[in-house]
Amino acid sequence: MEIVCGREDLVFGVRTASHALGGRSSMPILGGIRFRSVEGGVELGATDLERAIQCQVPAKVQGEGTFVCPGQVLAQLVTRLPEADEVKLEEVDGKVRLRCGEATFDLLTLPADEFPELARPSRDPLCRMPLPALLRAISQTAFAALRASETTRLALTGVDLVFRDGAVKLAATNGYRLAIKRVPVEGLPEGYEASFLVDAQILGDLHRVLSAVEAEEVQVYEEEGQLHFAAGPVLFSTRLIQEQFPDFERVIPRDNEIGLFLPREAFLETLRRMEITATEESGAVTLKASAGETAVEVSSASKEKGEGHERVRLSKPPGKDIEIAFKAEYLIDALRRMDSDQVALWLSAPERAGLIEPAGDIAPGDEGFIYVCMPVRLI
Amino acid sequence: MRFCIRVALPGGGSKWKAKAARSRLTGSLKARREGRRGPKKPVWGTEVRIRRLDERLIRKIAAGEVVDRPASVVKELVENSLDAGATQVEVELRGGGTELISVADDGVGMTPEELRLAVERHTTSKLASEEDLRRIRTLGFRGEALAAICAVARVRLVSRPRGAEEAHELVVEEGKMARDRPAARPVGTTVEVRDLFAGVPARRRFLKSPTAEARAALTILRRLVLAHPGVGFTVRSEGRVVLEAPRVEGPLPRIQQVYGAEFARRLIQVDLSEPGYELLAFFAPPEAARPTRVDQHLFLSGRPVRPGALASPIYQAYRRYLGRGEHPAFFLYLDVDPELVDVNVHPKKEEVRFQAERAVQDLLRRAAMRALGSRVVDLKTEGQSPKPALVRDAARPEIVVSTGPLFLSRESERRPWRVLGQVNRSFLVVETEEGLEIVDQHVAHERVLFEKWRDEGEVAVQELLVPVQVEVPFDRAEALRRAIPDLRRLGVLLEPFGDRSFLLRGWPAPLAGRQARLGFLDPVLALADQLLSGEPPLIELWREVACAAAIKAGEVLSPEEQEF
Repeated sequence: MEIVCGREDLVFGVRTASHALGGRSSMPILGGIRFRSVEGGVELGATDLERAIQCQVPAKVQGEGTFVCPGQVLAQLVTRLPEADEVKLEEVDGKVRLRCGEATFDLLTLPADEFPELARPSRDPLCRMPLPALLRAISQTAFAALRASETTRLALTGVDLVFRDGAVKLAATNGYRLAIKRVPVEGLPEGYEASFLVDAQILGDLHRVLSAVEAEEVQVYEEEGQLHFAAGPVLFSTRLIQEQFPDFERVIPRDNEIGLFLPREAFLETLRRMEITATEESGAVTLKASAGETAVEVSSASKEKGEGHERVRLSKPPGKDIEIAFKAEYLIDALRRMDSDQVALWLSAPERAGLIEPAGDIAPGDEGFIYVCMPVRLI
Repeated sequence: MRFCIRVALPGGGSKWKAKAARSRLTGSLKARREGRRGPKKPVWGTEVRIRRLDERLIRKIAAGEVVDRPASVVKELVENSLDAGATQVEVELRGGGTELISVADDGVGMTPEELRLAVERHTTSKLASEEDLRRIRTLGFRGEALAAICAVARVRLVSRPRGAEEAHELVVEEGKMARDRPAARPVGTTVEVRDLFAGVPARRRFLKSPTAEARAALTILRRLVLAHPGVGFTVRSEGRVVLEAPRVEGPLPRIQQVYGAEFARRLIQVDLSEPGYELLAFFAPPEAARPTRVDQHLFLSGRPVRPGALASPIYQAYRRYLGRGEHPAFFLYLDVDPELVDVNVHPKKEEVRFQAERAVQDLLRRAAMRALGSRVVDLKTEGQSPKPALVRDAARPEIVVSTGPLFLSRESERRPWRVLGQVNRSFLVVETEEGLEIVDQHVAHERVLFEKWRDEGEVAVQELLVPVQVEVPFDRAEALRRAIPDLRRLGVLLEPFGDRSFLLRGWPAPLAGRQARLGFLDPVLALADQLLSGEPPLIELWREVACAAAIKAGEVLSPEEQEF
């Protein structure tokens, strides 16, 4: 097999596939990127058995075939290829000869027959949605998941994707806070309802991979215990976590009556300042608002550092008094991932969950986003 | 300080001085031991004449050997039920067993004659000749138990043997037959023991609180329940069902009934058999190590015995993975040819003597290594070679030397010490003004956290969005239930949720991010264990949480973290 393709196309393909390379694995073949001739070009594939990426690159291919190159070497190589329009890859004596400009490399190969079979969806997509909407939804939820490789609550390391009523809802929680984003989708069958739990880190990789793809739309497929995301030349497949995600709809507070309407940027900056004087480990900041007053007092104190106070203006006074503390980090996490000029913080009592949602002129990117945060209490 | 071994390096000299420091825990144990009153001295001087003791007194004295507290009564009665071939045993305790201990079974039952004989000393159905004593397969055999219990309590026995038309009832009070008449009961035997030690004030005085006695009884029951998966158990204490364990096939489902599915899932099973020995073992991985030995079980042909010295080869195998004060959890079901073991060396039969103790130790060592070895193989996907534990142990320690900053920052100039590197992913090598210091990173971090908390008066609790359900073994549930107020003061908000489940509603805010790696169950269980093993002061609990949160051995630390 001989492949001639554009230099930039190869760089894109290798970069994309390398997001699925198996690390220091006992299966060396997973460290490889597979090149396979397809109609109109070549397909680059990689998998660490948790996720798989297949990326089609336009190329002139002579003959048919498959070879597997060591992924790390190739990924390093493509960042430093000399300037040239085209790159030529050909199989010579069990090695792959790569020529670019005046440079020639003979790369060792891995046994292609050991490379795992990568699934390709055979049925119609479950639904379609605009690519930017999916990327936004991932960046507004995946951060909220539990970050740990070895946890007893495996379900919380994932993002739950619930498809129903013409939309997908992404939800992630670490047990203390919860981020939810609803994105309308097209083509979801009437009455369809299903949820899939995907590792938050893998979803983060999906975000990185698809951010580089020029495509309007992403198709979602569900087959044989995997989710597939197809956008442009890229197919990203992920395994599902076989765990029960908590019933997140149940923990969204629906009847919090104290609404604090805050300027998002100003509130975010205040929290970042108050975080400095908060107790290092708990990071608690206190919010205090009184009925009829148009400002909330944000404060923090620690024995080691001292204390800080700041008033943030409210666009309308709350109906009741409230004093409640949150881990500053958890509020900041949500606020900095929003675009709207205002946020509403809905509260009921110092030991009950608070709800954050976009308010005022709601930015298009904030539609369908809500965030629930449990308070910190001093005992 | 318990964590530091100081190596002094005087100029030119090479004397290694190791300073072993005593732990706080050892200190408090010692104080407790010293604080206990010694036995009273006999008062001499009054005229003493030797005379033969009367029969009732002899019985009471002898009773003490077998029956010293409610827990031992429970043990004897349940063992009788098991020896009678019961498939279902129901136990009820009231007043921690001092008011009532009731054990009912569906075993073979006894005829009225057998009943009358049973309450006399040294009567048993299980042993007829000296020859039998060498090949004991039943749990009880000396024929002491019932008689001993009858000597110190009011006992009611109702039994109906298989094939009999009706049951028979016997009531013995103060060693005398108070009732002897037919009664109604399905096949099997019920023994009710009331007012234990009411007539023996000396014994009664030494009993602990009803809750402490109940706890001891439940601990013994846990061992018996684990030993006999094929028998269903229902245990009630103060009117509440504390354990409902229907009969199951094999030990693993039984361990699951007692410890919960989460724990059972993590166990590593090992089967080994040799002429005369048959071992089915379940080892908990080192991450599930316990702060005490309460979860070390050895069942010898269905008899729970203390592992004692037999556990030492297992410790050797685990040594590489465990920190100080951590104990492996294991369940060993060992079937031994009765000829090879002497169970008649301890009045409560808690210890046994093997003819070839070395052979048994060797068997256990191989089992533990196989369990840990299989773990290493499991880790294969993470790039580790599948070598057995001891081979890794013998290999050179892995040393991570920090590549420090090119220029020392101001802060590190001010500090009188500098971290040089990390050894075996467990110890930090620190250079101080006096020389080199080797610091156990787990214990060091534990202390840093603990001191931080102790200094801050109030505790910040991070509320949980969805309460986490934690399941603990039934005998620990009670201790945990009573610890709820103390736990609250630590920032652990727990509430009872069924018999041995709890809902965790809040967690100490400083640990909110750290618990992820460990889960909630281990730290909460560690607290329960602390409470079980003798009601420690609050400060010990603090330490326990700090310890659970502290970095465990095996984590590679960045230079910044090492200096933390």
